[in-house]
Amino acid sequence: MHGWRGKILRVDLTKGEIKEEKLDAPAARNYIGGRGLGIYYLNREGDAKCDPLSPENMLVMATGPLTGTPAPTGARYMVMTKGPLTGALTCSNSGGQFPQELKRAGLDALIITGRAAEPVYLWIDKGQAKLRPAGQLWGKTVPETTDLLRGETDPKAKVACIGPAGEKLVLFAAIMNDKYRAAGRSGVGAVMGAKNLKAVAVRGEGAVPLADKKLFREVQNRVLTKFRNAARAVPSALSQHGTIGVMTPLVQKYGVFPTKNWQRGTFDGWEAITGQTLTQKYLQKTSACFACPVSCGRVTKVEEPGFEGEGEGPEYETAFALGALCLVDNLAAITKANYLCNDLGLDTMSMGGTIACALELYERGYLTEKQAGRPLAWGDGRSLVELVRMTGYREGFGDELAEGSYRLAVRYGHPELAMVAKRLELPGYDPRGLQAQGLNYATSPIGGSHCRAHMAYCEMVGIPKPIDPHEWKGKARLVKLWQDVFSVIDSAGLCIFFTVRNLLRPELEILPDGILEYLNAVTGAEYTVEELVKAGERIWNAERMFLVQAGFSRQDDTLPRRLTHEPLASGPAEGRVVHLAEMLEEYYQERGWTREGVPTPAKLKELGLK
Amino acid sequence: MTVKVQLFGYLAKYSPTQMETFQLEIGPEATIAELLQKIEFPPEVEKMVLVNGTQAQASTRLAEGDEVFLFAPAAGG
Repeated sequence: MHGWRGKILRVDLTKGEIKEEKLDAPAARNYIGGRGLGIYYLNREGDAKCDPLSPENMLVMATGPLTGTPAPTGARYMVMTKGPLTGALTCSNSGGQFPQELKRAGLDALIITGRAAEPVYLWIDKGQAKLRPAGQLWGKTVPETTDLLRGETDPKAKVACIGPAGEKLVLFAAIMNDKYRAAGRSGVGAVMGAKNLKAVAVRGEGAVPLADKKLFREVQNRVLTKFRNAARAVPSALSQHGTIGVMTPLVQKYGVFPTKNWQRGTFDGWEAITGQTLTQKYLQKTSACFACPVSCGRVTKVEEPGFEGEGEGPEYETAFALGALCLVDNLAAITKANYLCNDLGLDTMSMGGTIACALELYERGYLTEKQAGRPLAWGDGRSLVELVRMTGYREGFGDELAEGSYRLAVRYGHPELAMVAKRLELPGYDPRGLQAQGLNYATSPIGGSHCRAHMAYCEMVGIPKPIDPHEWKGKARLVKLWQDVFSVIDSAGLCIFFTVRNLLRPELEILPDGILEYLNAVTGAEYTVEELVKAGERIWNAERMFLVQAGFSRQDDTLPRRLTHEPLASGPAEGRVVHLAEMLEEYYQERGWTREGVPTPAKLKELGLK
Repeated sequence: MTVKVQLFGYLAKYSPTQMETFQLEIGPEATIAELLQKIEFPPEVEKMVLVNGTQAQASTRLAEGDEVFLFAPAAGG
């Protein structure tokens, strides 16, 4: 096979057994790889009804056919399992170097089941895999674990691991790779922690074989030349100032910058936390994932007393969640809190969302100083940093924060203050001013995510074309199309940032023309655009079936009441709410699902799912 | 009338005042197209235009005190 390596590794932690198996080739073609392959194996063998932290929960780490090839941003892998924070599916995606190393080690996917009796790590050395004791690593931070593992295995090994937060089953613990990259969402790190699996270290060799090298070079030259010419005319803001530089000013200008636990849509302190400020004050250099011409990563250093540190970040989502949501305009504090999240292995988005929820519970008197163990205040950067640390170790009130905002808000009697979809903290775009983004949050298979289709691109940024953000009619069709194509991006092993601008047809119906060219050059599979879009729809429906099996239905395709019933009080989106009920009705029709949100037998048959 | 113009980020290089944000005197009910012409913004440069946080077209008419924000679209998030 080309592109795909044709091999998966099964790791049964209960028995301590590792088996190699041939990749299911027809499935690879139909589901492409990565996210698609993950849901294929989860639906075939996993238990959607299981307790996510039980040995029965299956954890899949899957690369795409373009992962590890020189295709721009071919750096991604997907972690798929049942999420402990949400009870829904997880699609936690990460780049860096680890995914391509997994691919160069000859593997398309790891399927991990069971629970080890004692902490272990998985060492994959050019196709030879073994489980080793990890007692000496337990309790170590992500950077410490990474360095120690490289010492024990190979100085060039690439490491994905959990930090103390994953070990302590923080429900939004991340799996970190290459120290600073995160498969962050839904608590995938807690699943590893529950399995007593501290890390996966991998060393590969050689290059991923390409089916048609000449064709690949042609496509590559054309795409990169166009990209570089465009960057010469207008340097990429993403390269210059990172995601925090691209998004922060726009959400503020549109009045969709979630602030003070979504009580407002603009943040007075926004200029203090933009990418431009980060560049001036703390940026040391940029960093790039494997094969990425963009380089949106921020290597930073903070010297302010109390916030000293070095590492990567913050990205926009982090600045939004740890910043505006908590009214913190101290970029040093936000960056330090980000470093701690990285070191302890926490999702910055859910961390910020949960602290903001606690702050509002406290402000309204539902949570007392005695219960929190300390006074809480909006905008308190020092407290923010301390609360992150306490959460990572489940110390004191941190033990309650570690459960995420939904459980916290329920505990104190006010679930309406948890700003979540399917219990996953929402990303930094207020859908009251971006209607399609709202529908997408409500219908994403993992809950509140902007990565399973990022409708703010067209509604706010104007990519590939601008569209009225406040109109809700007709948005359902667009959301469906984007969700299906984003499934293709995730399954191919690419990053959405580059792909949306450079590898999709520049029309609102974003067809994956550029992905098609790369996939065919790499795999020789002779896909058509229609086949890819159909694969995207297949993946989306397969994921929906996982949710249906897990007990989800229409009532879970929802948003917090604040977004559907409390109009924004000021700013350009003043007076607006999300028209979710109307859009959802259209959406189910577009999808060919029942009014309860279940794919019909005819739809499943059409997609080859039954 | 006077409007406030912000050429965000890299687009600041096209500012007639060398400043990213500046006040501009322009005729009553001027359109975005007229504003762009007045500041000699190169038509080939890709941009999005917001007026008071709302997407604007070339034909959008301006009013006294409007805030015009221009940015170059870039994916991210």
